[in-house]
Amino acid sequence: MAKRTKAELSEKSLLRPFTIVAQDPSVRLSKKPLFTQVMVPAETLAPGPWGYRLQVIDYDSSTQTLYKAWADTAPDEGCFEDPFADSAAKDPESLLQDPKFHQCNAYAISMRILARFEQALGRRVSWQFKTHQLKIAPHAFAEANAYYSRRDECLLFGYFPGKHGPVFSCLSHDVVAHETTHALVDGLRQRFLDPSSPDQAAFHEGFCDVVSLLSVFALRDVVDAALRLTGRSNLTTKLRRKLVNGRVLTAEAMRESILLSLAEQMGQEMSLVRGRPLRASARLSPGTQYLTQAEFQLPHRRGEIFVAAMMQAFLAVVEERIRGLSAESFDDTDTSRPIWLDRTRVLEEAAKAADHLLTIAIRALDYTMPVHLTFADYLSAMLTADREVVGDDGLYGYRPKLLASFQSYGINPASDDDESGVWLSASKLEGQSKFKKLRYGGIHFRSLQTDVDEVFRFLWENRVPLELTDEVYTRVLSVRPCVRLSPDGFFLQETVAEYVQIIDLTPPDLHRVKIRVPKAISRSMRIRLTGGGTLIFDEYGKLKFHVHNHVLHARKQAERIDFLWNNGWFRDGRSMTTVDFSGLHRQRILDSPRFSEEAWQ
Amino acid sequence: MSNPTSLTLRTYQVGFGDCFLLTFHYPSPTGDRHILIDFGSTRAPNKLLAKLPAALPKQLKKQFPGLKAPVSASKHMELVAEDIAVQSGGKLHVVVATHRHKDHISGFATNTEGTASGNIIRRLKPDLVVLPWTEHPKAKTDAEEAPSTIENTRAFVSSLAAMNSFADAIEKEATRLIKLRAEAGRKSTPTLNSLQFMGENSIANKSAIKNLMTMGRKVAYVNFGSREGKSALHALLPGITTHILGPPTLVQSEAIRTQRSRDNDEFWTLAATAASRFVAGGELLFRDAEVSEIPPHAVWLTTRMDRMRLQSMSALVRVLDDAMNNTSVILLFEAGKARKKFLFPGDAQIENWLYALSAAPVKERNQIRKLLMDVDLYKVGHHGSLNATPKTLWGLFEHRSSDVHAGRRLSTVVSTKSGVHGRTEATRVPRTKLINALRHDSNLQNTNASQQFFLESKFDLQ
Ligand SMILES: [Zn+2]
Ligand SMILES: [Zn+2]
Repeated sequence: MAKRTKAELSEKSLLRPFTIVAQDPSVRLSKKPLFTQVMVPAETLAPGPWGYRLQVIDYDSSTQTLYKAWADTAPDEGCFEDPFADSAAKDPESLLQDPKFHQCNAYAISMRILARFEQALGRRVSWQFKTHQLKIAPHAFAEANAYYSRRDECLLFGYFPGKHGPVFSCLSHDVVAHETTHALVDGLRQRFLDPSSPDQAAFHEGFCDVVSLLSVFALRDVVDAALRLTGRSNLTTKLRRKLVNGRVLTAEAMRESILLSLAEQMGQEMSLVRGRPLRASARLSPGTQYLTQAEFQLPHRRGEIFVAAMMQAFLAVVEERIRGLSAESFDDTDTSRPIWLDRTRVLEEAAKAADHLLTIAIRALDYTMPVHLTFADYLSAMLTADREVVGDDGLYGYRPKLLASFQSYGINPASDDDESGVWLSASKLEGQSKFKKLRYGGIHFRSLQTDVDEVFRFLWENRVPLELTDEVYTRVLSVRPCVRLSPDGFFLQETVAEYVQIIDLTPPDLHRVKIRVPKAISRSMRIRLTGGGTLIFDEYGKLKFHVHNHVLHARKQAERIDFLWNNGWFRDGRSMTTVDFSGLHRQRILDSPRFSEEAWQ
Repeated sequence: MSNPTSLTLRTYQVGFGDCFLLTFHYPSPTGDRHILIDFGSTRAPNKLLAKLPAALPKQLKKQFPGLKAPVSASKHMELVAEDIAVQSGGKLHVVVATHRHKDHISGFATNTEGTASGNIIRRLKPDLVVLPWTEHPKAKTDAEEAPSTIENTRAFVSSLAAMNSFADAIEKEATRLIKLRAEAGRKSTPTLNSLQFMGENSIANKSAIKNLMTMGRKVAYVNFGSREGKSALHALLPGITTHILGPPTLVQSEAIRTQRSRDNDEFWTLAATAASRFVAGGELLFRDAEVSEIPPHAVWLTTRMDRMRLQSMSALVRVLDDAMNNTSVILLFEAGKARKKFLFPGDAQIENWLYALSAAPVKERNQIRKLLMDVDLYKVGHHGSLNATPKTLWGLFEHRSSDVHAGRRLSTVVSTKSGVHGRTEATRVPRTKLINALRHDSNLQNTNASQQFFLESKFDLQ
C-alpha cells in the first residue's frame, strides 16, 4: 500500500482515504488478510459513518442489537487520516472482528462505486426513493443473504457461521459493490425491475457482477495477488523477477487463469450469499446456443451470459494493450520464444482497460430506453456511448471487440443502422425522406436542460416525427445535463431526458391494436402496457438520439405478454410487482425451477 | 387367488393433518386387511372437540364411559387410535407414513407410560411399515445408488435434518415474539402465526419416527418403482397391485435437481446453525463490542428490518416445507376384479410428481399415465394447497364429471382445516379454486366441512 502525501490528504482535498478488505477475509497472502486503500469523496461524517449520500445503521435484527457507530475524528492539521491504516498493518486479525471497521468498509466500498458512477455519467445520480441517503446495515441478519431493498431504502448484508467463526458479507468487496450497483441502476432506471423479459430480469444481476468485477481490476494489489496466486499456468514464471511472458497473456489464457482464479477467490467464502456466478461466467466459453436454452431462462443464469460477453471483450482489449507494450512482433511463427514484459506495466494496462470499459458500461445506461431493455439494446447503447466520446478511430478498438464478443454469445446489436451497431442518430433520421422534420420553434434551450415541462413540450410538439402514440398516458420522468469526459481529456456536453407511456388494455382492446394475447387470459383482465424513450440532446439543444420502445409495438408487446403469462403473471391473486432481490438472491442458491402452469393460481 | 370385494375408507377428522384407514374386505378365510395411511395433526379440530364425547362413535362411547367434556387435543388423538384399534379388530397389516411432517406422523409418537396414541397403534402389530427412502437410517452414510451420488444423497438427507432444526429455531423465535407481544397487550400477527405453524410442522419428531421404524415386523423404505416395497405390499394384500409412484431417488430426479443443489444442501445446515445461534438474548456476534440504544432517527429502519427478517424466515420455511412435502410416498392401489384405482400421494408436489409424469422412461410413463387416467379415488395432495395437485395430473383423471349421477364418477377426499396454512390469498390452504373444481367434477369429501369423528365411504371392487 502506497503512503499518501500530506497534500493528497489535505482537508481541502476532494478525497479521503479508507482502508478496506481487498476482496474478502478468506483471500490471504502469506496467511495474512489482504487490505487495500481506496479514496472516496471527502466529507465530515456524522457517526455511522453517516454522509451526504450514505448512512450506516449497524442494527442486527436477528439478535435485535444496535452496535455502536464509528465516529469520525476532526481532521488533524487539515488532513483526513485513514482511520484503520495502522491497525491493518499491526493487528489485521482483530481489525476483521471490529464492527466499526465493518461499518467503514461497507461505507467506503459503496461510496467508491457511487463516485465511480457519477464520474462516468458526468453528473449526480439519485436514489430511487425520496430521501438523499441510502441506508446500509452491515450486520442485518444471521442469514447467508445480502440485498438491496428499494422499499426500505437500504442495503442489507447478512452474516453466517463459518468454519472459522462468523462470515461477514459486508467485508466482501464483491458483495458490497454488487448490491450498491443494484441501488444505483435502480436510481437511474426504475422500470428495469419491472417484469418484462428474460433479458431485463437478467440484466440487473449481470450488470452488477460486471461492475463488481471490473472495479476489482482497478485495485492493483488484488490483481497482482491473483497473478501471484495463480498456480495453474506458467503465468507465474519469472513473476518474481518482475517479468511476465507476453505470449501466455492471450485472452483465452487469461480467462482460464486470472479471471477464473479471481472468480474462484471471490466465490469461495461468499458462495452461499452470491452463488458462483462469476466462476460460471468465466467458464462459459463463447457460443450462440445459450440464450435459447431452458436453464438460461432463469434470471441469475441468464445474467452469466451477459457477464461472459463483457469479460471476453475486456480480455481481448487487455490482450491488445499488452501486445502494444513490446516492440517485438507477436506474429512470428516461433511461439516458443518468450516475449518478456514488465509486470507492473501489464497490471497497469489491465487496470486501464477495466477502467475505460467500466466507464462505457455505466455511461451506456444513459443511452438505454427507460423500459423493456434487452441485451441487444444495451449493446447498441454501449457502442453509442463509446462512439460519442472516442470517435471512429479509437485506439485498442473497444467497439469492434465488444461487438465481436457479444455476437459470439449470440447477442446482436438492436440497432441495424449500419455495421457499427450504434443507435441511429436524429440527424440521419431527418435525412430520410419519409421522416417529418423535428420542430424546435418556441422551445427554450436553457429550460430544455432542466425542466421536465419544457421537454414534454418538445415531445408533444414532435409526437409525429418521434412516432409517439398520443392516446396514452405520457410523462417525462427526468431531465439532466451531463458533462462527459473522454479518455483524452475532451469534454462532451449532453442532456438526457426520459419519458414513459402507459396504457391499460383488455384482450379485446389489444386485439384491436393487433397485439396478440394468449387465449387463456380472461377477457376482462386489464393488461398494463408500458413504452417510452430516452432523448439525448447535444450542447446546443438539438436532439441527437431518441432511444425508445413503442408502447403499442405489436410484436414486442405480444412477446412480452406471452413471456409474462408463461411465468405466472396476469393470473388472479398475482399482481405485477417489481423484482424482490431478497428472493432473487436466494434463488441463486436454492436454484429451483418454477412450474406456474401446474398450480391452482 | 383371493380378490378383495370392497373397500371401506375412513377419513378421520384430525384438524390440519391426515389420517386414513383403508379396509379391504375379502371373502373368508382371508377376511379384512387394514392399511393406515398417515396419522398426524398440527392444529386440532376445535369444533369437533367441543362436541366430544357426545360425537364419539358408539363403540368408543361404550369403551370410555367416564369421558367428560372438554376433551383435549391429545386425548382426541388417543381416541382416534382407539377407534382404529376397534375398526381393525386389533390388527393392522400395513402402516404408511408418507413423509416426516408433523401433520402426517404426530399420532405415532409414544410416551413412557405407554398411553399415547403411538403406543396404541404399536399394539396393533403392523406387518409392514412403509416409509420414504429418505428416512432410511443408512441414507446418511450409505445409499443403494451409484457411487457417484452417495455423497449427494448424504448431503441431501442431512439437509433434511438441518431443515428440521432450522424449523425448530423458527418455531421458538415465533413463539418468543408472540409472547413478547402478549406481554405488551398486543395480539399476534398473521405472519407470526404462520411462522409458528410452519416451524412447528417441520420440527423433527424423533419419537414418532423411532416408533415407525420399530413397530412393524418389516420396514420398507421405498422410492419410485421400488420392487421390494411392491412385493412386500403384494404379499400382504392379495389381489391388489400397489404402484409406488414417488418419491424419486436423487438419480431418478437428477434432471430436476440442478447442479447447484450441493450449495442448497449446505445452505440448510448453515441456516439451521445461524437461526439457532444468533437470537435475541443469545450469543452476541461481537463479544466485546459496545452496543447502543436505538436512537429515534434509526427506528424507521430497525422496525422495517425486524419485519423483513420475519418475511425472510417465512420465505425460507416455505421452501423447506415444499422440500419435505416432496419426499412423500405416492401410492396407487389397483384392487379387485374391477381393478379400481385409489391414489394416495401424501403431500407430494410437482417436483416429486415430475419423474412419474414426465421424466421416467417412455414405456413406464405411458403405463403410469394409463393408470392415472383410470383413477377412482384421489386423496387430494397437501390438504388442498395450490401446488400439490399438478394440473397435468388433474387433467389425466378421466372419471372427472360434472354429472353427479355419472356411473363411475371420480371420488376425492381432502383432509384440511382452513385459516391455518398460508398467509396470503395466493397461498391459502385449501385453495378455493381447487376446492371448487373438486366439488364441480367429483364426489368430494371434505373434513373441513364436517364435524364427524370420521367420514366413511365404500367402494365396490367386483
Ligand atoms: Zn443481485
Ligand atoms: Zn407435509
